[in-house]
Amino acid sequence: MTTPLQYEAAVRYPWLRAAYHQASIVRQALADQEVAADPQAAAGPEDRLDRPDVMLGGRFPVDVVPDTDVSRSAHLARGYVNESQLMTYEVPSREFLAQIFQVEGS
Amino acid sequence: MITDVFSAEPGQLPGYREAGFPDPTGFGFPTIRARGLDPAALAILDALLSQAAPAEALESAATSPTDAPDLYRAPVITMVSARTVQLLPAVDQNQLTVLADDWAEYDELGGKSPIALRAFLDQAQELFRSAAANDRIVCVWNCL
Repeated sequence: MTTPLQYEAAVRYPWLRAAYHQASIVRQALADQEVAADPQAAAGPEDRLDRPDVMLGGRFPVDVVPDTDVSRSAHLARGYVNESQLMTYEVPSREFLAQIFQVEGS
Repeated sequence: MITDVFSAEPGQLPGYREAGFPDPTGFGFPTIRARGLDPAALAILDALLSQAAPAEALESAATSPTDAPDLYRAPVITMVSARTVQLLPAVDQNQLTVLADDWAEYDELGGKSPIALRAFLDQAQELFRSAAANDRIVCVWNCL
C-alpha cells in the first residue's frame, strides 16, 4: 500500500514514482501464490535493514530489480545474491508511472 | 530500494558525481548499508525528532542536487536534513529504543522490525556525530 505521504512524494518528486512502483512489485512477489505458501519466504534477517527482498525457503535470497545495468550491479555488490537470484522486471515508461500516480502532464 | 546512508565532505561531491555516483562504500565514504529508507521514511524520522510536519520534512528528504534524477539511469543522491543530523546524536540510549518503536509504527516503514531500526539508529548516531564534528554532509544513495 502506498501511504498518503508516499503518494504526495511521488506526485511532487517524479523520480520517486519508480521507487514506489518497485515497492509494489516486491509486494506482489511476496503475495505470489507459491511464495505466500512458503512459510519461510518473508524477507531475510529481521535484525538489519540491508537484507534481500524475499528469502525463499528461509535460505534462498531473491532481489527484485528493474532490468538495468545499474540495479543489477548494485544488488550483486551486496554479496547476498547472484545473477540467478535477481528477479527482473521491465522498465516502465514515464507515462505509465504518471498514470499510476494520476499525474497529468508529466 | 537500496538506501545507503553515507557522509562526505562537500568538496568531494563533484568528483563523486563525475564518477557516476557509484556505491559509496566502494568509493571510500563512511557508509551504513540499508534498504527501504526512502525520503518519506526519513521525513517521518525528521518529524519525530523535530516535531516538524512530515510533509514539510519531505522537502529536504526528497530533493536531489541532480537535474532530472532517474533511478533507471543512475543512483539518486538525496540529503539527510541538517536537523536530523544534529538532533539524532542527542537522543539517549533508552529513548533511542522508544524512537525506533515509534518509527516502526508508521506505514511508510513497510513493517520493518523495531530491532533493525534500532540497529540503524545506533549506527546513524555515530555517523552523524562524526559528520557534524568534521563538517561533513550526510547523504543517501538511492538505488533500485
